Amino acid sequence: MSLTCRVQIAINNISEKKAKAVQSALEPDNVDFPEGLSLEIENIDNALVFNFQSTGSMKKLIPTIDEVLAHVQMALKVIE
Amino acid sequence: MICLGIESTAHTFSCAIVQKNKKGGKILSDVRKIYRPPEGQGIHPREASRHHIENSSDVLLECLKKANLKISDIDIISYAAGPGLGPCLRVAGVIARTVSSYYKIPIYPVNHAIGHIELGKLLTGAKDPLVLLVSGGHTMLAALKQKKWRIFGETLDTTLGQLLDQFGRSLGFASPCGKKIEDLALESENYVSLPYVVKGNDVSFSGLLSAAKKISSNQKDACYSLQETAFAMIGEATERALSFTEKKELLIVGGVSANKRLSEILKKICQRQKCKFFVSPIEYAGDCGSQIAWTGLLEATAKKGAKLDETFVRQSWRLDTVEIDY
Repeated sequence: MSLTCRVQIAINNISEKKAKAVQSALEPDNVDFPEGLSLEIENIDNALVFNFQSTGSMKKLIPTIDEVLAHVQMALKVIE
Repeated sequence: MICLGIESTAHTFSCAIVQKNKKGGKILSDVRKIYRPPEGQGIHPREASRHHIENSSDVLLECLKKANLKISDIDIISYAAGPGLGPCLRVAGVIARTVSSYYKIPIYPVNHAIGHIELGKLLTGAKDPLVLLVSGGHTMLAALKQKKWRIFGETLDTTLGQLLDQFGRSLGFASPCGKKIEDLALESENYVSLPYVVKGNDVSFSGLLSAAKKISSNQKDACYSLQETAFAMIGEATERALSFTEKKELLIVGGVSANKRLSEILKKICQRQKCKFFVSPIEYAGDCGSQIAWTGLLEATAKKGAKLDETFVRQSWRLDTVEIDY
């Protein structure tokens, strides 16, 4: 039996322009993920939604979420 | 044209603003924050990237302030896309893309090694040099031929900067250890024989590092012998490359170019080979945003900015794969 873990994180009340900037800054690095780990980024209404999914080992999931959120915070701070 | 350059391949997070005009380039500001690992330890990529993330917005703001510019004054953005440490590279990539997307500024991914070379050329006035790039990430001899920097010798394992740092850390020094080793070496003239490995025109430092650690009970003799051996190997490869390429200029760039003993050896080689010797100014020898900004400006003379979804970071990006169109 393999364990699947899904994590959804939403950044609410963000302008479309800012959400688009953050999304286009992060998406090019969304490549070469470890096997079983994936990330989808959606820009819905006034929210930026990150959908993480990990199958099997959870070892890489938490550091990946940690890095993505750190990058989001950095990107938002830079355009402020 | 004005470019904001962002560098974060390893220890250094730096933003710089450089202006290009008909006469050349002018550095308007160059601000850096350097990640320092604990004494005796090497760089931890995640810790370094955390450092860069925490300092990024302050460094960017200070960079704009020192140049007396607003973000709307920037014409293009360039960032170091590789080679380097993955988590560190992604910091510059994310910042550059964010600013590019939000403010609609063209973006240029730049090869870090080429950045060292191009800034060295700008600051020294070298026109068509054989380049010795020696740092923590690189040890190579390169010359421009048919639109590509061709390699005329490189390390087969450890770089010269890593050799000095790893040896220094084994003695408990804090990275970067080059200056401390250089100072200790000045206090000895007692050479202890160490492995000297030049294969073809490539060098290998791993055996030298192991052997130097074994004689480190006398730090001064060990530092002196390590430097003399490593620099003689580099000197031999450089002289052969000069003779082969018939270049009339030698330019040394990268963090280790600050070492005076290495310059002394290379100067003598240049006298023998009747060529001019150029050293990158110490302030800009190591990693900095200026090297990235200036290379971005050169790239902008030949091509349009990259599409955002095609902007990459690449941990292993050899400079001899990059087409030079400018």
